[in-house]
Amino acid sequence: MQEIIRVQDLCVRFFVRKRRSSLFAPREKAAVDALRGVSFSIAPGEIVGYLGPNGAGKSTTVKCLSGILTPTSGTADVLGRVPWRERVRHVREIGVVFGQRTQLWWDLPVQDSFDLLRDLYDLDARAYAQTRDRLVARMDIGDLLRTPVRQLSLGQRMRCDLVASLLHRPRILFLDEPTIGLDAVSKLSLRAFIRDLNREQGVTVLLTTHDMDDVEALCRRVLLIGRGRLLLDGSLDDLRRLAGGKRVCRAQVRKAEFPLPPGAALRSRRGEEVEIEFDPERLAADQLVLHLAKTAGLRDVQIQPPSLDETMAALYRQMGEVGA
Amino acid sequence: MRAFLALARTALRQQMQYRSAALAGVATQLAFGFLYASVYQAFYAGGSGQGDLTLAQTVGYVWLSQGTYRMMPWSGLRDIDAMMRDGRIAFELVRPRDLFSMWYGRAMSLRTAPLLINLPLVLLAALLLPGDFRLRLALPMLPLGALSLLLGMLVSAAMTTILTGTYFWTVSGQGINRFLPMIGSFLAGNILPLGLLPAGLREALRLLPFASMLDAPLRILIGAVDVGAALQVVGLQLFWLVVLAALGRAVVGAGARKCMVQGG
Amino acid sequence: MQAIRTYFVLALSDVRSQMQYRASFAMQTLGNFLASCVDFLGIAALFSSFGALQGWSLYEVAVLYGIVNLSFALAEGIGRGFDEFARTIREGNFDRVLLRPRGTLFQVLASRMEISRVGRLLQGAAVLALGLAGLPEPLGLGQGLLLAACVIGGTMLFLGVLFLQAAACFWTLESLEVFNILTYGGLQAVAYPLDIYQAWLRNFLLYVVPLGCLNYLPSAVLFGKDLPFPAWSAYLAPLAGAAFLALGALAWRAGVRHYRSSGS
Repeated sequence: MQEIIRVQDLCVRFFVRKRRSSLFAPREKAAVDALRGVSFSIAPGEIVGYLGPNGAGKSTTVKCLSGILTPTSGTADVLGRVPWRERVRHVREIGVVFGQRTQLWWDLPVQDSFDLLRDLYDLDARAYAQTRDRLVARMDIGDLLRTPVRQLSLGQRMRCDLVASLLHRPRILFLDEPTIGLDAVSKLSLRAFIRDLNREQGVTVLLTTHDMDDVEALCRRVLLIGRGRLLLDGSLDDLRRLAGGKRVCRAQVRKAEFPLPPGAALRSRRGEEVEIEFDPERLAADQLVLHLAKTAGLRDVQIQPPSLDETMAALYRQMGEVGA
Repeated sequence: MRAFLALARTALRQQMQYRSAALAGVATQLAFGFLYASVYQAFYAGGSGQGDLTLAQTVGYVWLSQGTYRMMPWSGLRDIDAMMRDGRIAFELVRPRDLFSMWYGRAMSLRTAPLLINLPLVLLAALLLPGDFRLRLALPMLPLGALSLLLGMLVSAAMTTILTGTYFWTVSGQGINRFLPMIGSFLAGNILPLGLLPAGLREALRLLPFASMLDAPLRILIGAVDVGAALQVVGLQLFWLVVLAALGRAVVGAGARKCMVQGG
Repeated sequence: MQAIRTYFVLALSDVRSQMQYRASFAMQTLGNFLASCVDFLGIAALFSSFGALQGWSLYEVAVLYGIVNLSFALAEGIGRGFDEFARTIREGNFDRVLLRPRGTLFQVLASRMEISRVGRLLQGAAVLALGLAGLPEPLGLGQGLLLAACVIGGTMLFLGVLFLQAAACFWTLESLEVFNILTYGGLQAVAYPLDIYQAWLRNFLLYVVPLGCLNYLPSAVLFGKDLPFPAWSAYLAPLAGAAFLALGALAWRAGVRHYRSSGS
């Protein structure tokens, strides 16, 4: 299938000004490489999670792909265009949502913001009205349209922001931390909406987030970036494997003291409940269970893959140790 | 004295953090000083001045008022205004300290600290300028002028505290903070030297508290008054300092009571 | 045509936002009006003390003053988005502008329309009317058109300065207060006839930041003053404003290019 986004060797180098050491000293500049040769491509209709610690280069990539930022070198092809060369035409066909920032007019009712966007994007009046009514109904924000944006709760605002980013029917949606700070109900409804949008309209989504539940719920494919380099392009299982593939065994045991075989380590103990972390490469799960049955007086056992949050924590720790 | 030096050092260090802004301020003040000096030279060249200042005195007045520009009470303490709006003022009210003294102290540093950089730099530049643009100070009057300038700062800080107190009345406080400084700066001699106004007007304005902030010390420093008159001027400044401090205490007290009754 | 409609849709929506804070708006407008009144009061007071300024009467200076203040009020009202641009860029809101399918200059221009500047606008118009009342004979059609062109040219020039000021923010990320010397300083400087200044300052105001072309040249022609230029040159002078605006737009473009290749 033809790719909708293709990125090749993207490099972005910033110059950061250092503090002057004295009043008359010349300002020194330090080069910071935000991206050092990132390449990937995305097919139409995919939802891809874009992961990495803060400062890894996530938002720099999104800025390049949305045409805001011109990279130092490398190319990108989004919908057949180089985004930063044809900014105005490019942004007509993409939607961008920043969870931390609203694109609505702070002091105006939501409806007015939508109408202003219609004017800014030069949308056909009838098509706009149709799209808006459909989105408003789907996101259930009909009651909020007359409310000034500053009076909305975060969850309400986010729903309105998402509608605003879709009024011009973009084919690609960039979501930057869309669920940050939201309550559980809002998160769930937002995820359901994004999933439907992707299924029904075939909108391609690139999702940047720290919320691994978002990733688990939406993405079959993830890109992991660290210190400006792409570290992984694969499935969630690939991600877990990369993190070292540790597994967790939760067990109820009668004995207070018992030995552990090599490859296993006690993580926590509360009464009879213990959590044991083990490396499946060195110690098979059935061996561990057998061992516990013999030595610890096993009552109940459960073996789980580590949560994505734990996986990411382990990965970020590794990145920190590996260094640049 | 040692406490004062320590305070001054802290204030100077704080100001140094904003040195690019401070230097921009100095550049602006020098540019405006030069501009006004040019304008007054042109007016004096016409020869029919009615004011009680000579050209050299007027030019000196211009430089001094530029150097002390940030001493004027341009507004109350703005962070207190922000506190009134979002309710943090409650913390300020429960502190076991006298609110007026606390705010007066902060107003004092707000009005003096910026001068530590601005005043010396502007004056130094003005003292080195050629010809009619040079600042000429009346050296024998310097000690009395410095005392008067200090009193001017204290009066200005009292005015700042009054303005801060009016923030307790949100809407009208906003209005007062917008209009009083504007009109006050004219009445103080910041827009043009009071000495260039028609005789009756200037004598009347000099009795008001605004003139005690700026016009009083400036007139002494440029030598427009003799020692006897200067002492009278300083006496008037003292009078206004006492009155404004009392007024400030009353405004802050009334505001705090109103705030407590209404529950913030 | 479509762009003009969109401009008004956007700008008027900003006006609607401001109208939600009616008391604050009323106070700002009144404050803006009073501040400019105090300003002209100073000039009027000088004329009452000195009589005239190198052959220029108060009426004639009122025309100088009225033209630039009208222009300045218009430019500040229209170009408020550029005046506050440092904040836009610091808070990362310029990315939002780049994400929309319109030119950046257009969007920032359309983002704000500060109606409180009506205060200075009214005052400037009143002072201009006062000055024109002092003309020996009523204004002819050509002269009237010239005046209008000068106000428009002046607006463009001040907008150009605002563009420059905002463009600088792409590099400095903070607002450069030194630009106040150009805006407020320029405003003060050309409120008086340029004859009174030293040659370098006069040339600066005619050829570098050509504010003088927009009020001094045409007023001198209107009042039959001696000029080192032919009278028809006054009718071309308003073009200086357009040229300066173009310069500002070029600087803005360079700034956007810099921003987009360096991020924030």
